[in-house]
Amino acid sequence: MATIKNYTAQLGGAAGSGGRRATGADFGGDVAAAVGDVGRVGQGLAEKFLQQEETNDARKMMVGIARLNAKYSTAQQEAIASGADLDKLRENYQNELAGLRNQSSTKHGVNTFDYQEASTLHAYDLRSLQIRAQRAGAQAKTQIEGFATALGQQAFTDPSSLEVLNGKVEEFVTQLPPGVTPEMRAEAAQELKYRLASDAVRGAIQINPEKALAELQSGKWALKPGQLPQEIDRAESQIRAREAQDQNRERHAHWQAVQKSDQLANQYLQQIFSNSFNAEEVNANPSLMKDDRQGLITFNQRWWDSLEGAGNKSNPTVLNSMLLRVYAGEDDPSKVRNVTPLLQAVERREISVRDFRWLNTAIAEQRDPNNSTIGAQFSQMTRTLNDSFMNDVRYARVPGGRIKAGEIVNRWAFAVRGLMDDRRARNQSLYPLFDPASKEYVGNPGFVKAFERNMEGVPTITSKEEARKLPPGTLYQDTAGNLARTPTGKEVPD
Amino acid sequence: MAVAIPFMMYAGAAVAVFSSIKQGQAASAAANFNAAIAQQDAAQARSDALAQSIQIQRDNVLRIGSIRAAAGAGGGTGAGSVLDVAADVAAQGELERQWALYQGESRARGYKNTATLDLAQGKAAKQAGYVSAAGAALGGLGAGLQAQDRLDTAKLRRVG
Repeated sequence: MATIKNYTAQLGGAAGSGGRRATGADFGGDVAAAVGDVGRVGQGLAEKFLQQEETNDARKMMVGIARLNAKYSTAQQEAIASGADLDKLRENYQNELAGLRNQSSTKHGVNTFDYQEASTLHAYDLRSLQIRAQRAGAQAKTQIEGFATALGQQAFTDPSSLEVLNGKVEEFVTQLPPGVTPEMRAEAAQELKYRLASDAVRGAIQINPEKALAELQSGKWALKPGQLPQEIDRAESQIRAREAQDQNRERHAHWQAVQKSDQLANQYLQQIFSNSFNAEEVNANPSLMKDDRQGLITFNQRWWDSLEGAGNKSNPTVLNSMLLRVYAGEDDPSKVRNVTPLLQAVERREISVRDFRWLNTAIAEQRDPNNSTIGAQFSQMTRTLNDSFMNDVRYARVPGGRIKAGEIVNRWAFAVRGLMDDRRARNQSLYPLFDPASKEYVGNPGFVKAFERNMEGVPTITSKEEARKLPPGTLYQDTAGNLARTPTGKEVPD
Repeated sequence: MAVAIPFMMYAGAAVAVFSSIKQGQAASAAANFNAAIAQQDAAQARSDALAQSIQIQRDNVLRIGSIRAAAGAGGGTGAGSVLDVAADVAAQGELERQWALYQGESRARGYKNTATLDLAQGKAAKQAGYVSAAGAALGGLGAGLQAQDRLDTAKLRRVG
């Protein structure tokens, strides 16, 4: 039997809806989240800006305070010298600080400012305190100094008032400014007493050094430790100074007397030369020194002797010595500075009246500032020439040689004096005589040698008539060997 | 510049508030959408189970028909063991059909539950968006006020 197969469709087991499940992103959730992020970033940025603002503000405050601090520190420093009002300065400082504080844009800045301001004002106040203390100290010091000066003068002029002054010191220190401590007052009192004692001792030394020295040695004065030896030294110095001053006074009086006598002697010499001399007047003049008085009277006699032809010839050695002493350097103690030694030499007949005159003229010339330069050159050359001849073997080791050498120098000096007088008479400069480059140089070897040749070529005359026949200005010698020059008509009067 | 800072903060907060609301709404919409899909899946699962049960029933009818046909062809009378077999086949076929319906109902119940959960999630997401927006608004307000305070120095000024 045939079998017909049945067909049945396979159904069931169908799956649920396919695809994925929906999420918030599918409905704009991500966009919203992104927008939210933007909002939060904006908030974060604002916070950053705020923090930056606060940092900048705090920095601005600190810098501003530092500048004001520097400004008012300088002002304080200047106030030390100027004495400016520190309270007023602080008020200005505070005003400027308040102005700065008001410029702050954040509370952080204000807080920073307040913190800094507290410390900076504290430092300012401390410095002000120091300055006030300095000022009080300086004020007290000025008062003490003024007091010490005022009372010191009194102690100096009246040392016996020291005890009374010490009492005033005790009273004074109680009146010092309030800032001065008791220890400082006691110290000031002690210092003042020492100063007054010191002033009193100095006054006592000034008044009577011998008595003050005795008092110092007996311990009468309450001086600062270590000062006693100094004051003893001072008293001894004062004693020595007084003695020296007395000596100086005596020496000055003697020097004045010598000067006066010398001046008078020269006046009397002019009287001798002009024939108006009065020996009695000279003898009675108390201002003349004894030697000058005696010398003038004797010189008068020698002058008349020479006029009557009985003149003596100078001792060449003495004349040379006197010449060198007249032209000696200023530091030479043997230098002849006044007429007295010359008068004494004339009195002893060691130099002639004529040589006396030119030597005395040389002394006067050296005193004259106009001729001092030429005089110094002549003096220098005379000494050089003298040394040269005295050390020359031809004279130094020959018997009588040094006398001859002295004579040569004397003649040379006399001749040069003559040349100087001639040039003065002609109003010519004297410098060519002492200028080695000049033809008229008196140190020229040829010129000097003429005097060495025993005065060869110098005519010897026996009477005044013979002299008159010679040309004006001619050098001649008399029978005694004295050198002279015929008049030129232009001689400078004595 | 400093004056604008609080306003920048307020603006940022406003944007954050808007964003939170919008995010809640988006999440809610997605959940609702998923719930609707789940509802559809549930209905589909039932339809599928019903169709399958009909097919199983048809198979059962055909199977019993073939047993009867076979018994008739063999000279059977339809009594005794043949009847027992046909009854058993019919019982098993019915069990199979009922099982298919049960499975469909089970899947539909699962989808239904998912839809319920999605709806609840959508509601919660919306609420969360509002709460977050409120938080952002409060935070922004606080930050803005604080910034204003940090910049407000007028009361601290000194009068000279």
